[in-house]
Amino acid sequence: MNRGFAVSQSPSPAVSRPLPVHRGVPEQDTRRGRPRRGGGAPTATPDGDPAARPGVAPPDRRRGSAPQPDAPRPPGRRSRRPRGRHVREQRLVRVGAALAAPDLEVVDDVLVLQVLRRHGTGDLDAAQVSARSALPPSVVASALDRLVRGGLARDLLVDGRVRYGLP
Amino acid sequence: MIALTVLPQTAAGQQAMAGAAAVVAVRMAVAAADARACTGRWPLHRCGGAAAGLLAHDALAGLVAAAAVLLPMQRLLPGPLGTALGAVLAVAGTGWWLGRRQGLPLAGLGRAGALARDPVPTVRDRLLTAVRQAATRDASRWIAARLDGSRRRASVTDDQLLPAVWAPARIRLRTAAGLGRTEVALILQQAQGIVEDGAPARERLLTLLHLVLDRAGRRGVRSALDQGGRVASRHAPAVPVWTPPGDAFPTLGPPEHRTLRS
Repeated sequence: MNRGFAVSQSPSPAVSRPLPVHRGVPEQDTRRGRPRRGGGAPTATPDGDPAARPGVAPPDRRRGSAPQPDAPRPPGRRSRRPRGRHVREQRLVRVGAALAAPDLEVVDDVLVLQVLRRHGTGDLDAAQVSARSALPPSVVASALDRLVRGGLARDLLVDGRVRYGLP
Repeated sequence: MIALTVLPQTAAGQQAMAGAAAVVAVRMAVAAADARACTGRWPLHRCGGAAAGLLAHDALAGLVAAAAVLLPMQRLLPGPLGTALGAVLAVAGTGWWLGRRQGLPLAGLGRAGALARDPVPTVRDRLLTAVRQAATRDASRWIAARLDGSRRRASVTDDQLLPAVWAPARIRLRTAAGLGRTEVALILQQAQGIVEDGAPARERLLTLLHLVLDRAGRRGVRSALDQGGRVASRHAPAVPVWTPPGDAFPTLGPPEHRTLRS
């Protein structure tokens, strides 16, 4: 009897997993992708009785049993991703990378930012940044302007001259 | 005060005083070396009160360590051996205590989870930061003041002072760059790029002088500015040529008398 699985028309034994067939309405088919009840083999062989094949033992799927090397992979969930209500409610944010990449469009901005970071918490004026980054003053001025507008540097007016530092 | 009056009366007291003085001297020397590493080549006496505060902080820490370690060690091992051992332990313990990376969150000790919050910098780290900031600001202030004085003495504008300063600054950079061809080429290329840039002349002058300061120190900046100021006053007019506003060709007469043929 065909219980929801397509009958393979090919007699080749290479077809180990049959194609699932939706029974009626797919939303109500709760048995899709799961092993069949009663230990029945999902494969319909030409002789119609797969358990009668000699030399093929049913896989031991009991918990704690060692996986057999030639055992077919059990269908169902493939990963151990945490699921469930407790995960949804108490999910911890695990940050694997920067959440927001800095908006650096020009290489000069990176150089200027490296100079500011290397100097630490102090502040530099535009001439000092230019001398330390080996960039011309006009390039440094525009780079500092972009960094300040992007929030990656801060400007401070000290003694009538603007000084730049890390925010 | 009691310790200062009582300790030197006996031999043990004199030894303890000498040991404490040694601990404080070592701590102050280390503090001065750290501050000098923060400021680069800028002198410490120009950094204001931050450097003095750092020295006082380390001296006080050395004094406390001497009182906490050296005196009990002297009681334990009477004689110069105990004093020397106590001084060494005090110096090492002070170094371990002052060199730690996180400070105590004294402001939030009463709250729950104060120790689990973000690390707080130590007092010594804050003083070192203040020293570095003071040195950086004082360097730019000193260069701007020297540049203003030189320009005022030569009675020239920044545009006239820049080519005059460029030649001696180039010589200073060439002299201080060392013997490597690559380093010389890189530093002179950087200076050339600064001078030929499209920024205002004052910005170019300040950047060039900061480059000279990084390479040749204050002496290089002072000599380059003095030499450039003398050259600028010799070859440039004392007062820049006045041109009426909006008239790009003063020799051709007022604009209303100008025609296409002229």
